Amino acid sequence: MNRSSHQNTYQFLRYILIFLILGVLVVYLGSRKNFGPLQYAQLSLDGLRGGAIYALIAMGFVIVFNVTGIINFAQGAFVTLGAMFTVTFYNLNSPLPKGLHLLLSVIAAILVTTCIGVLVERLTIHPARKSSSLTLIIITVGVFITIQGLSLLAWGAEAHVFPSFTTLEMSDRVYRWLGIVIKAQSFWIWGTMLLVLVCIAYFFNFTLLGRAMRACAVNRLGARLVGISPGRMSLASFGIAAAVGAIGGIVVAPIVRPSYDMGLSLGLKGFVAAIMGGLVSTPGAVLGGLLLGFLENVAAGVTKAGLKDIFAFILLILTLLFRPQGLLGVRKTAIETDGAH
Amino acid sequence: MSVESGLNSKRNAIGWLVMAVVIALLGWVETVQPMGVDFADLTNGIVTMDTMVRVAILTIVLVGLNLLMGYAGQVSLGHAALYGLGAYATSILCVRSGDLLGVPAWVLSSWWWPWLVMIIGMAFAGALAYLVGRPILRLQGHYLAMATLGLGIMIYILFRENLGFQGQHITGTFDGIPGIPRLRVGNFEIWPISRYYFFAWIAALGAIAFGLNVINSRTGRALRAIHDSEVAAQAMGVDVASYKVRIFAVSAILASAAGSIYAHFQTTVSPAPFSFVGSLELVVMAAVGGLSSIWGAPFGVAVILIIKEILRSRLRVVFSGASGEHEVIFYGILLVLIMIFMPEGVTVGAVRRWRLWQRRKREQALSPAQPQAGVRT
Amino acid sequence: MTAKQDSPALLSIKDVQKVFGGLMALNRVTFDVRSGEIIALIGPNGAGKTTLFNVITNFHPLDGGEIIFAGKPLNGLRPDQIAQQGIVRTFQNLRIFQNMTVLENVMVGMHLQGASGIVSAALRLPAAREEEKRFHDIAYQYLEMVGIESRAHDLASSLPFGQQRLLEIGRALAANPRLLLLDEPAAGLTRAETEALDELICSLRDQGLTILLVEHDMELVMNIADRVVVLHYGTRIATGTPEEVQANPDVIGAYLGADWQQDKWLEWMLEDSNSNAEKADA
Repeated sequence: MNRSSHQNTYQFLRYILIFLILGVLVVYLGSRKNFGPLQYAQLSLDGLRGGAIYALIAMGFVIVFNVTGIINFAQGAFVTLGAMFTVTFYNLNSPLPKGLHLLLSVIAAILVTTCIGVLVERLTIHPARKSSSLTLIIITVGVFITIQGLSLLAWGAEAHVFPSFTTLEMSDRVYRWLGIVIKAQSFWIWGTMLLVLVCIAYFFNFTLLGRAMRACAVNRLGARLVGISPGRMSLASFGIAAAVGAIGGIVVAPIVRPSYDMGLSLGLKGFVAAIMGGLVSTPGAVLGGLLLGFLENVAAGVTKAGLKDIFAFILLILTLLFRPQGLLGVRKTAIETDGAH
Repeated sequence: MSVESGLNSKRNAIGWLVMAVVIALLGWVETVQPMGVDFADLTNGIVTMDTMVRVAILTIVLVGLNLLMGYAGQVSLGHAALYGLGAYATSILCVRSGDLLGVPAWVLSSWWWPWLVMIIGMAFAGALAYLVGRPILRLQGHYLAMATLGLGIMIYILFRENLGFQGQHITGTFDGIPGIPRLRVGNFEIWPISRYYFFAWIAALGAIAFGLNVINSRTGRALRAIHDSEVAAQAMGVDVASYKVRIFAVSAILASAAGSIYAHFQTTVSPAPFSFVGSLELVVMAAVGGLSSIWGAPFGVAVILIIKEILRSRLRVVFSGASGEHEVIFYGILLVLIMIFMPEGVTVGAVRRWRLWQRRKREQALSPAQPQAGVRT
Repeated sequence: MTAKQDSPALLSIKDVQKVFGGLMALNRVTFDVRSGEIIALIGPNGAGKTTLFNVITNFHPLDGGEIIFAGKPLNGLRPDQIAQQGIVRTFQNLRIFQNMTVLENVMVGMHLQGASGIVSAALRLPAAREEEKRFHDIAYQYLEMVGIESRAHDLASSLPFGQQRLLEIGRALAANPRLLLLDEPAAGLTRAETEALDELICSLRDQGLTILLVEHDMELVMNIADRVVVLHYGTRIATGTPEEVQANPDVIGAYLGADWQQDKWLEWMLEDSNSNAEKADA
């Protein structure tokens, strides 16, 4: 007789019920615009594409949070850096064929961003590792706006252009299928998300470093006692999060025209996705990301496109109200989280 | 983060009086300008009476933010939007409510209508904070940070977009809403700026007194207890969630009041100061002044505003180009440095370091020949 | 120190269960705490003693059973509401308010005794000021009760460990409890400090307070407890007076390992205490 697991199921069902109600609302609004299944399918597909990006960014949040307990507000900055560095490298003159040049630019951008992530951890998080979580949050906010400001300085305020992965030109190939339009870049995005998910899962389950990081997440002191250095784990988690964030920025760049402030909105939505998934697992992050992308796009489609950002936050508030631990998370009690003393 | 403890109310009262006198004196100097001296000359054009009024207005916001961040231990990353709520409430209800809501002209032109509007704005902000805060602050962890960030951006979008209602605009694009009347009491207009200076500072000093009184009370102790150990506070009967929500609502009310005062000062309200960057500026000011220090509030505001002014006017040559968002780099670095090295704020941190340095000097003077056995602080 | 068998049960723990994942931390634990008693809750580490405290004060929700205090079920009350009902606890790993003074710590303990809110505090209404003075004076008295009044205006974090423990007890007392839950109050105390604690707890009981304490210090337990409840792996394995429990073979087995009877050396060790217990019963 487990009372709390009953409550848990109840709460989960209530949360799902919210989405069903929203779904009904959406269908109603859509009918006023004479939406048919085709429009919904198009909106859903486009939404899932955005959702895959959120999933990638959310994975970065989850990794850092799990290992260090910190909510890394600077995650969005890594997204920006990944995209912008790729643009810079790509615009360098090179004798190589375009495809190879793009690939090398991408790899270089990921490496540079990872180094920056590591630098951020060493310079700002590590010295403050004994501070309260409030202090650490403010520090990551400071890091984010510093990087954003430096991006403005380095790349200016205008949006840049980025070639599609498929055509290596500015315009992307589109596929039409049963009346739905899909950009070729979408497949790159979904593919990358799956690839990253698989790699991360493999890393955390089958490699020594990954397992060490998980150990650190579960019990920091215990991990130290067996020789794992929490400092190094923290470093590694920031590095990985930076890489994953950069990948997210790069793979969406052909679609959204990267600029210095793309990280703010994307980072925020990535965080909402992480919360919806539960901040505890990378599959949860993916689930949250896809769900968020899908819902916000459909909702914006049946109302006004400019309100898309608002829906993301409405979903955040709803999640915090009805299922704060997210889809796959576990509710913690006060006495478990009140650890800083 | 250490909280000022053992605050003696007498010390606070004296400090408050001193501050009031100094402010009054400065105001008198500026107004009367004995021997032709005024602020702008004294500080090479950086600090003007205009700046001082802004310091006063933002101090009111900061007192609320300090209570929330330094005492209840919650981060608000959207406070500028709450500040903007007050400003927009004042603008909309003073300027456009005739067309929108059919408020009769005699009310609109009366002297007491703007004051009533200010109170309406405060009530609205408080209610919003309560509604949003109640579910979120029941949770463990720092969800309020994200929720306020999201809320702040949402409200800013609402300010910025051209919202229509039966053919009339409510909020109005980037240009904002012009034509906000000056505040009056009866026939006494609180203008020119020298009068507004005193008005704004009376409000600011009132907010500071409010903050100090709250801290040294049962409520303040409950908040500090929550900050130190939520679990222990609960075990002593403190309804933690309820206190957090209440202080969040209080901080929203203060921000809204400040926003209304700002609106009457500027007479035109545009969305720009209420964006995410605006909220960040507030957090930086709080950090500089000390997250748990009510006294630090005006100090933090003053420092940041002065630095902004210097950056803008003197160092323009370095940052050519975009509109002044470059200052965020500076904010970011400053924020990080302060939180790492002086999380209690520059005032408290500097005092602490000075005392340590003094103590070390004394120790060295007392025993100059003995080797320092690695006593490092 | 006779058990007050006729007094009504102040706290009734009935069939209480708590599960953490796969681990049954509390397995149908049942016992009563009678008004005016001192009950010691003992058991090897990990037996579920602190978990029971957390469940009573609802820092962890119950998974089964019920807890009734003074006739009312505690089900669903928040921890602060439970404190309001009159159950106050201390913590195994001290949770004093580090950044407040000693006196302020105790004044927080008095929180439920006051009524002033934000508005009356901000306006410094006379009622609020009077309450402040009253709090100040009464808190000081509590500090005197536990003997640390000399450090009243020092920062709580600056106190030595033993005094911090006393502070936490003083703070709990300031909340005017009907039932005081002490979680390992003697842990880390010197012999002298433990004896002083012994006297303090007894004097509290003499003033009518009911006390439930978790303790490992057997001497303290034997000296002051009216009754002892023994937990092992979440199950109550014995209840009785200290002497009864001390001789109980299940209890000895729990602490020393179930094969204790095969251990010759242990047998020799326990011969003495067994014969002592028999003499006491006779």
